[in-house]
Amino acid sequence: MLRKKQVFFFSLLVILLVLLTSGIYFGLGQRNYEYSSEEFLMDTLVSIKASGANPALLKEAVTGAFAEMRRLEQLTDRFPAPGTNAFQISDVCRINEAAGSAPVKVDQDVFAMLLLSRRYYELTQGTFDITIGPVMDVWGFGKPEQTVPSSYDLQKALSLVNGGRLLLDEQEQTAFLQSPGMSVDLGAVAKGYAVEKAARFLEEHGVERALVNAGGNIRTIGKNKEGSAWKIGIQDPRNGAELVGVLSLEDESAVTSGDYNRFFTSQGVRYHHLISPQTGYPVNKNMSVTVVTHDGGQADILSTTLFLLDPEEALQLAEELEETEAFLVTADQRILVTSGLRGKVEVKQGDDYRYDKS
Amino acid sequence: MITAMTKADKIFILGVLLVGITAYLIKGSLLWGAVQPAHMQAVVKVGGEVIRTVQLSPEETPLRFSVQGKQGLAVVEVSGEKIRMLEADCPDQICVKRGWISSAGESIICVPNEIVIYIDAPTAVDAVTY
Repeated sequence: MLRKKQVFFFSLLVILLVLLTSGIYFGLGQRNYEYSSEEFLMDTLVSIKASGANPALLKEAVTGAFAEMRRLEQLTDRFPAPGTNAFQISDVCRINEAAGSAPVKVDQDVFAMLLLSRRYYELTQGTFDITIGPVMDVWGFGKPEQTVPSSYDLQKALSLVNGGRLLLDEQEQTAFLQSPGMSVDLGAVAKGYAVEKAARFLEEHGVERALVNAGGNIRTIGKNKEGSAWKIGIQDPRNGAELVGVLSLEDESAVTSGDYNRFFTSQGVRYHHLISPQTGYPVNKNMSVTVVTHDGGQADILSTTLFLLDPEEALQLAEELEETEAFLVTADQRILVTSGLRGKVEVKQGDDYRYDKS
Repeated sequence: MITAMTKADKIFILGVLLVGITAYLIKGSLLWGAVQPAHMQAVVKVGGEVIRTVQLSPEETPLRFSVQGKQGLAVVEVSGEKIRMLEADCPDQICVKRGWISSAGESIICVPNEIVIYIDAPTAVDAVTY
């Protein structure tokens, strides 16, 4: 009897020891992998970095997120030539082609972008307006060559800009531009929306830590691979090698609109691509506006919208909107930050800017 | 000589096991979160331009690639979590003699060829919005 008991306990001991050591072994083997990938998409370099315990899952999720962004790129591309396959795939091209003639049934993501845009069109009484297409065209933004338009051409183009004449039918999911010659440009929406969509795809596929970066249009998921908040630098608008601030973000998005990214010079004057739908000219009240929100699509729209406003007005709007923070570098070299962002940003004003805390 | 285990022996054994299992469970969950860092990457620059970044991880297959420097060709070798200059067309061979590097902040510099290889430091920002 005693012998049997001894054998029993000894076996138990061995089994548990084996379990224990293998457990420690696998515990040590539980590494934190990182998977990252880059692709040229939406006129910029898009990079996705994801980290976690399962490398196969990371790769699958990142690959899927890129596929989602490619799909949205094709749906919103405004510039393929008529008659091409790319033109037929693009909902934006189809909406613009049918201007003045018929409503066009669109993809649900495109419809969501149009609805989001209308919300900000109404909120800002037309400061943000995606029917700015004809104005962008006379300047040549998005095309190989840019020129300063004649005032006749500009007035003609401006007369076609009217967000109120873009009819959206939620039942049918159709979009209809009521006058011929009108056109929709999702340049201030699509990238942010696609970044948000990619981030949600990653989250739905079990990714807990990731950074989606579409040429400075950023969305974070969880913490960074070191386990702390993502550190996102805000580029100095006049010195690309310097930062004017560093944000600490978790599950948030940061998007910047600046006058230094897309511009051309004509007769010594710089013209950038952030154009007022009301005047038809570039707005020079701010050098850059960075918006932090939970939604990348909203951050994209709002960075453009706030850029077009007077700095104080922009700051006030950001304060009023829920879960919306902003960091502005104004044309008169001031740095303005919303109250909710102060704990999340380290301002580096340097010699060139004045941090205005009032 | 083997004697029968007393009750105290059994309690002792079970106690040891219990402590062991608890320790393993705690350790396992901690390892999941923070202890094991994700892999680093090395950046290769020529004349200030990043020409290549490579993942430094045991999962990556070893590789060699050539780099066109300002004076001639150089060959970089990556193996697991480390990187080195295998050959370089330069008179002093300081870069080749530097050997492998693998920690954040370490770098290999070949002045004649204007080649810099460095391990991405974790202290810098994760990304820049512009």
